Amino acid sequence: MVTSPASREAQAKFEDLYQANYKTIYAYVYRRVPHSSSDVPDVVSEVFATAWRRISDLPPAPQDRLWLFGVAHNCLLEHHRRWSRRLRLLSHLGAQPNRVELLETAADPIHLRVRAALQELRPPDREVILLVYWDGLSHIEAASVLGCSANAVALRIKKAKARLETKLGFTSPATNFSKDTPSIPITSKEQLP
Amino acid sequence: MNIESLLFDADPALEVRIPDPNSLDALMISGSSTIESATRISSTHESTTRRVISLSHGQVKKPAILTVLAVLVVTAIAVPLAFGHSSPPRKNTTPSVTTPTHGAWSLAGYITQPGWQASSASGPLPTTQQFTVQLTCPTSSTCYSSGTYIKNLHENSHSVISVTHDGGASWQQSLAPGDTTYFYGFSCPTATTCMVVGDVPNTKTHPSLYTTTDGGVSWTSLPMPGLNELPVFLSCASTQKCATIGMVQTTTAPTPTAYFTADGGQSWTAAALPPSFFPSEYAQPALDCFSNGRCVATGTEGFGPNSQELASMIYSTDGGATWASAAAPSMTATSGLMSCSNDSHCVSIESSDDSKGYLVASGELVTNDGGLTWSATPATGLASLNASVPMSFDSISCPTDTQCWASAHLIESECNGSCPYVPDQAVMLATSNGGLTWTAEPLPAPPNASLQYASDYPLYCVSDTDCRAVGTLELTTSASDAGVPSVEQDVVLTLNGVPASGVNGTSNT
Repeated sequence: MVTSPASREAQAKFEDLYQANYKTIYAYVYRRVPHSSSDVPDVVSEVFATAWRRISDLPPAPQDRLWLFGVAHNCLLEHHRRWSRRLRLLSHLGAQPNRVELLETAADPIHLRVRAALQELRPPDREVILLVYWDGLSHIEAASVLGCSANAVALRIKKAKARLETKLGFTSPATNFSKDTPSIPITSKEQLP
Repeated sequence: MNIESLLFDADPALEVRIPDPNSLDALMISGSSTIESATRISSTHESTTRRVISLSHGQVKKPAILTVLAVLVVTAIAVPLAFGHSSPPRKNTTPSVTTPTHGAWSLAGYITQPGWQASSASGPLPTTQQFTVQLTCPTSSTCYSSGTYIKNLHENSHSVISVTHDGGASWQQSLAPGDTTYFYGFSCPTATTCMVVGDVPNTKTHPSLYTTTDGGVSWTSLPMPGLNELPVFLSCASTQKCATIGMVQTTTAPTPTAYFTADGGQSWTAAALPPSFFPSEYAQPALDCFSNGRCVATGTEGFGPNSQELASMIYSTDGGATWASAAAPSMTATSGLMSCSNDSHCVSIESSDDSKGYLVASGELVTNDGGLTWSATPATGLASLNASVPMSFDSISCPTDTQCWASAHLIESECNGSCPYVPDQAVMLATSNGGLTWTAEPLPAPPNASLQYASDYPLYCVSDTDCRAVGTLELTTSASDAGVPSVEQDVVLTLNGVPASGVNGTSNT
């Protein structure tokens, strides 16, 4: 076991980072690879293994959390590359084990339509929406992750929400959304894993 | 209900129970520190991981997965930890190749969506990723490629076929089913006729044979046999005669299967494969059929942890209706890459796990009698260019009996747990003596110093002076460390067979 004070300090730092951010990073990854949820733990493990390897480079809190988002983004890119390059014959044959526990609440059709509408946004607009509404980042934090200004984040969100409202059949921002609004067709790829 | 609440509630992560952090996992990541344990773990985790990947996911039990993950993460950090948390020293593993001896490769264009588009050497870089997996060029001017298009990280990927009819100057997206179809077997017997097997993973549906007879302008699809079968490899000797080798997932284990058609895929007949033969795990190439009915395929003996892990070569003389095992020397192999210059001569690079579990070349087999007998060639040059970094082979193409090109990569990213920051290093190898000696050949200069070729796969040669490969540009480690935004860009590489003496593979606009 590691015994030096510096090592113990690093271990403690890593443990804190892990405990504080594991679920956040897991959810971040899951939101972006829901079609292959069995790969999520692999990617999350890579994120934290990288964090440990670079523990001495880790910025102090709260920037460490945003730093993890950046690492997770890179790990996701790497995951996609490997997934595509490898034949992965058998993973395509059998049903993959579902390694996350689905809650009893079934996917609401409205939510599926919102996700479908999100898919139609420009990638930069969608990413900022996800970072703020799903990953829970503030505008300033999202700006840090995306490498743009907080004003730019706010502007993107405003435009993206307007586009979403149009796609979802909102006639105006004040109009209530009807569950029966048939605006976005739901295809199989939007189904939850 | 307003848009904000809708957005919050539509979070897919709300519909699953995100696992709690496990202190034991964190401890395993940060807790192993001795060189001995790191080395011991390192020597086992890769092979274990590969086993799990090779196994049917349906067979993988959770404890096994956890074990592999645990070993993976421990290995990923144990070595650097042993050196005081500093990043492991990164060696310059760029192959010291300066002078092309078999012709000069050049960067012909960038692959963007919806098709491949040639552009200047300075860009565009890149907002999308297309992972090109297969490439075949029935003529010098016409090439088809299959790949996976990932628009961004929030969408399912989907597979696409692209085609060029002007030697690669311009490319068009030819086929994109739009769902989660994944392309497997891929064969183009003529410039106008191309066939590809498509399958939607994890569904009990028939795979489909997509066929074009007008150069990729339009495609038709026909169902192929089996509900859960996957014809992984496809070779069409003509527009009518094709053979497949694949597998079907049974309740207990994957079982190899084979089919053949004599009517362009309208009807298929099952064929029996030799016992214990299992198709190669590589994407391509591993099956080749010729107009005289000769087919040759490479694979392994058996499958799974208890298999013999030996190369297995099979052949057919009737277009894939019947198969027989070839006489081949015993050679350790978990996968093979094969290319035939004609119906007599084929070269197969066999690969297996090294002592640390990395898939590296274990030898080379050559046949000169249409696959009946194979001999082991004492090839030189197939070992890694850098002893500390394993080299894995990705593709091979042999346009003549003596000339072959092979693409490979140095496995940087898998060796020290820093995958997001250490790209692989592409290597291009050539032989002009039938595989006796291989030399590393230079790749074109990347567009800028921030980029390097991570792979040069797939690769296809029409002749000994006319080849194409699809390279992938990624950030160098230093650029990534400096915070340069991530880059992943497929580009088209072309070989000009006239050796350019003294030229270190310059970019070509």
